[in-house]
Amino acid sequence: MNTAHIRAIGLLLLSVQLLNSTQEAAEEKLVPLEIELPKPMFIGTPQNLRVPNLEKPLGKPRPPFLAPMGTVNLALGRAVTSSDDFPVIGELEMVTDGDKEAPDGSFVELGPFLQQVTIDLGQPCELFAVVVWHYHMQPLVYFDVIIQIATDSTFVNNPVTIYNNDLDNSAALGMGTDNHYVETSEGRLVDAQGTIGRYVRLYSNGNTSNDLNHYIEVEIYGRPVE
Amino acid sequence: MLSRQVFNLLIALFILVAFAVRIPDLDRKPMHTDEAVHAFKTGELLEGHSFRYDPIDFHGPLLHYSAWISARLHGVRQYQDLQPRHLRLATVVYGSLLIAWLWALYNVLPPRALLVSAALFMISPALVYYSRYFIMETLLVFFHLGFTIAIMRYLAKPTTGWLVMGAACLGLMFATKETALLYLLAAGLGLIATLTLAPNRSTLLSRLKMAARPWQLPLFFIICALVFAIFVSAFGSHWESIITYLQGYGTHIQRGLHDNTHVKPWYYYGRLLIFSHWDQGPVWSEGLILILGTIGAVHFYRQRNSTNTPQVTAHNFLVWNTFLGILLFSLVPYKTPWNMLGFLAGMILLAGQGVLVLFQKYSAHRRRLVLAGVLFLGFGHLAWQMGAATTRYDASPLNPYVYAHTSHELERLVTGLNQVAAVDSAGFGLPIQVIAGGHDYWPLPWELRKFSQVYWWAAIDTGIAPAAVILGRMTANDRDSVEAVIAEYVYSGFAPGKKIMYTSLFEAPIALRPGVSLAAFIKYDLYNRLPVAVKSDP
Repeated sequence: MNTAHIRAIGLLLLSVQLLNSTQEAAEEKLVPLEIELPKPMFIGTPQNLRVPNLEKPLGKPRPPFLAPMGTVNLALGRAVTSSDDFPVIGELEMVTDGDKEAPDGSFVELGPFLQQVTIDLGQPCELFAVVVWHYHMQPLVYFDVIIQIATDSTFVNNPVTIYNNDLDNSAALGMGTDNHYVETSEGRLVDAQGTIGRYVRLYSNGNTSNDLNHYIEVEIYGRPVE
Repeated sequence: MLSRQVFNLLIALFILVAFAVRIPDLDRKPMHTDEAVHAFKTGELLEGHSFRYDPIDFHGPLLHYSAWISARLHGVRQYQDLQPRHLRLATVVYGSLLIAWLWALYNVLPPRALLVSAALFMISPALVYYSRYFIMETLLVFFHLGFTIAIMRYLAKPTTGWLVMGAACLGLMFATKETALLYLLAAGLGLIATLTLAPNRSTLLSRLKMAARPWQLPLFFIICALVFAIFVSAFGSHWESIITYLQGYGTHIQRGLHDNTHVKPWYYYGRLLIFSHWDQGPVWSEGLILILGTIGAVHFYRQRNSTNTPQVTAHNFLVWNTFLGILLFSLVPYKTPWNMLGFLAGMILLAGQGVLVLFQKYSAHRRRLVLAGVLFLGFGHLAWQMGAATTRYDASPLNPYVYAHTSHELERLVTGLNQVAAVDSAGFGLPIQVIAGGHDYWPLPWELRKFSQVYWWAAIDTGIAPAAVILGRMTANDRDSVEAVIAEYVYSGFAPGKKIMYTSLFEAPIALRPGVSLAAFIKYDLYNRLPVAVKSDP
């Protein structure tokens, strides 16, 4: 037997061995790999939103609100009065200055408990929507949010309430059935349903963080009555 | 005066009843985010890892060691086998044994006053509610009360035994939670006020000087540091944890002063305890304890002018310690309701004396009868609140002690996912992707602890294929629709004809806690294999 023969026999034996091991592998049961995934990251105590009747988050932007052609923000630059003439922070003019950003210097802080701001539109108007931004740097919920429209500045002659989430009538303006909601950067849009009025009044009674009341901006969409 | 034996027996009875009202149905309430994080850490201990202090959203190890004992006694050795009752039993034990400290005050406070305090410890809605809550505060209150009582006993009669007890309790307080520093500050200032503002301070100081030994103060700090070091270093495994713990005060002070998430007005605790009522919910109040405690405090404070016994010094320390505790915790802008438990316990001790004062003041039989009637109604209201807080309102925003609590609705999600695991061949190895900005997905890591393949994401990782189940967190501040974001992720990565269809697991999002919901998506073929009951809303 020469060297060539010896090599040929060696190759044959190796091939048989490889074939056997492949067959063994094919017969071996396959199991899923146990791959350990990363651990969850820890967070601190979440913010408390102690609010009954709290609206569940939509998880998406608010759908567009449709209004008649020619509807504009009538509140821009209009005079604002309040139950708190001396705000803790800011000026009442900030409510209608068109600045909707949340940082310091953009909001007015009114005193604790029930407070209101009233916007005089200068003439009777047909109103379609009121959008209010209280404060959206944090996910806060404001209590007793009541929005009224009236033709007189005293709100005595049949004011129309377009939003009221005062569930226990603590503001003594009637019990509301609307939801509490979390403040967001898109503000709260309330359908004014074409109500005619010159004055718009917005109440609030503290929030989930403290008893103070804040307004970044109020927009009132409508058109003057011809 | 009550005999020592009768007193001991009655206190033992109060402890037994305290256990009886705290133990039932500990699994009932869903786990809060903080409880879930603590459970995760305890699970690591159970599975053989040692405790290593991390100042970001962690505290001392004592709660975990206590829960480790409870879990092992229940035969649990793995995180996934833990149940809320295994963990909460640890806090129940401390919350019930609070009353046992009163045995040590027999010679310092009137025994009848102590029995009233024992009854209040037993039924105080806040104390009972947080005794059934897997957080550090009940342990902190337990050791704080021990520390306070040790100082009172030392002031009444300076012996080394009470000094050692006080030092050990203080060390254990720090090994529980960093807020122990505020209690220490209140106690230190309280001690200074007691000794310097006493009308007979020269007599008092000379008496203490004669009785105290110069080595006692160093001994106090050595024992305190030793106890603290043993636990925080995980029995010598991680000595560096002691340094990290001390450095962590920077983080905690920053949070206490600047974290807007939990900033509350200075009167937050007072209002919470005196009167809470929301909408159709019941009226909650522990005002009776505050009124009685104030009466007791005024009595003790006035007493310092008329009598000069060692006990009076101890009483005055209790008054100052409690008052300064209220003051300090009220001044810190960061407030959570469980932080009030320390001074509430002090007020309960004072309230016992308050009741005695009232009965001494109104000695006529008829007046005493009226007083007893009023107190009976007041205690009855406390007991009713205790029951309501731990059952019907255990996770309701109408309960003042509920703070950002997990919704009972989450149980539906867990049941649903268990059903999915039951019909899928992977079982609890079913891949689940959880997407929540800021990693705000807790307590899901607890609720999904049986599932081994969960991806915890702050944002979608498009490099990984969509899992069989995808959960997305929804808040009011989401700029983009969660559904749209997940749909983009699920459908964009596959060629036409190869796309896998997904659908919503439930008809409506599941509430995680007030203001935060979860949307659940599942592969359509898997969804079709589920029982109808899982998919429909209740």
